[in-house]
Amino acid sequence: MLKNRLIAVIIIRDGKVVQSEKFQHTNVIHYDAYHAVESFNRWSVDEIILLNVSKEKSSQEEFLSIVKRVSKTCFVPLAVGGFIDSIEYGSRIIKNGADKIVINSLWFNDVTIVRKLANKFGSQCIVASIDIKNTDFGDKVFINRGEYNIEKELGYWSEYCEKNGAGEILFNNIDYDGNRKGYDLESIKKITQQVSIPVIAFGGVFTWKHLLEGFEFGADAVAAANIFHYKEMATKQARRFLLKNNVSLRDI
Amino acid sequence: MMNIAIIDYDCGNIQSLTNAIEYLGYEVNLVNNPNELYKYNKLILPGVGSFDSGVSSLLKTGLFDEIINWVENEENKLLGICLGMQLLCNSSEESSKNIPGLSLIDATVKSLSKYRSNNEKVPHIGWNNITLKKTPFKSFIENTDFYFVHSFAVFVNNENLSLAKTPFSHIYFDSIISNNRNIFGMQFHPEKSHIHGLNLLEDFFIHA
Repeated sequence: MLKNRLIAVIIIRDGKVVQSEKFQHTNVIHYDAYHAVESFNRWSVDEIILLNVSKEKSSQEEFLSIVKRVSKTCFVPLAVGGFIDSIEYGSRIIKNGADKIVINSLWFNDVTIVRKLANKFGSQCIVASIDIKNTDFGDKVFINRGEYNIEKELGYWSEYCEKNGAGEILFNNIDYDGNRKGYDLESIKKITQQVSIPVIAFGGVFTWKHLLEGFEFGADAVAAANIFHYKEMATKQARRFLLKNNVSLRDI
Repeated sequence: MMNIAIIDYDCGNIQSLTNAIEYLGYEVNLVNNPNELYKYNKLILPGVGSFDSGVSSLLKTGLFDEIINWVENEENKLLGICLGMQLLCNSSEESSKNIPGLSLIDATVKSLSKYRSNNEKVPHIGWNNITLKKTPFKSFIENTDFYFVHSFAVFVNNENLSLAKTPFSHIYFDSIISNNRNIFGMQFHPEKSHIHGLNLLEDFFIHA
């Protein structure tokens, strides 16, 4: 049967691995993304997501060179996102070793480009990253690294992405991000009921139990960033905990 | 002498495959000129994207007919991965115009969506096990998990062509197929299936 997945997210700002807290990226964790990927690959994580959260679009080229370098020793799927704003750049991300591209703002800014990328590489290659944040009018979808409220509801937006070529959804709640209280479980439940594509839970994990909760609320894969950097062999410990709690993960 | 190349027809993630083969210590080239296929005796046909775009790229580059000629020499070994495997088959339900594939293995590509019974997601993304029927691959461990990412799957028309199967919903699709001579197809990505995948890839080079 199909196994649940444990995913490590590596957040890159200006070429360095950083910690994320409510989408603020101040603490540099590793200086080198290459070592982070190498460790996760060795520690048997099921997939790696690499995100460029730099403030400037000019970071595109440096980030591309990081993708190329880390993919050399990454023998699990590698999903890559950040500043994908054209067919050309999306294609170059794939050419440089990514297996999937993660798209966030472009669904709002120009969905025809996303559809063209999905046609070119197949929907299975397109991960829709959806971030929500609480506002005076309830939870809304935000783009541009959490800066811009597009005033859409999570359920509507998930379906919109699915209809327009998404093969997976990477969900994060900005208020929960780096908050150590676990995932926004109610929202995860809502999306998984709304769409038929796999959903990856992300944001807020501080204990292995939080990962378990993600699965319990319907996520197909659980992701974390900060916590996997703190301890040696962290992803292996997480895997052992999940297996003990009857989550089915791949044989390693 | 082993000469390995990846067929580069603008339909896929070639870098991942190149990385894996180089990691195993082999030299690998890219080939997109149909007249140069003869220089190699191990070819990999990768591929992501739709069946129609795959076929039309192969036709446009002239590779379609040359691949068929090249495998007539059974010393030459061909491995199709993911869409590359599906292109080895007769036809695909994904094709809007019902255009034929390379028809090197008597099999049909069908949509997984219609086999959903409960909560199964399509695309079928993630690690799933394969149950071995027979294999030329020595390193193979029964029930090992490999990484899949696809919405359509291969079903052989003759059970003899199936080397391994994988469960989806209440059915099994064929996850490794072969003409039992020199043509192989794998639905999963060996280059992205960690150690077991790398071993299998090496086995193809050594034992296939």
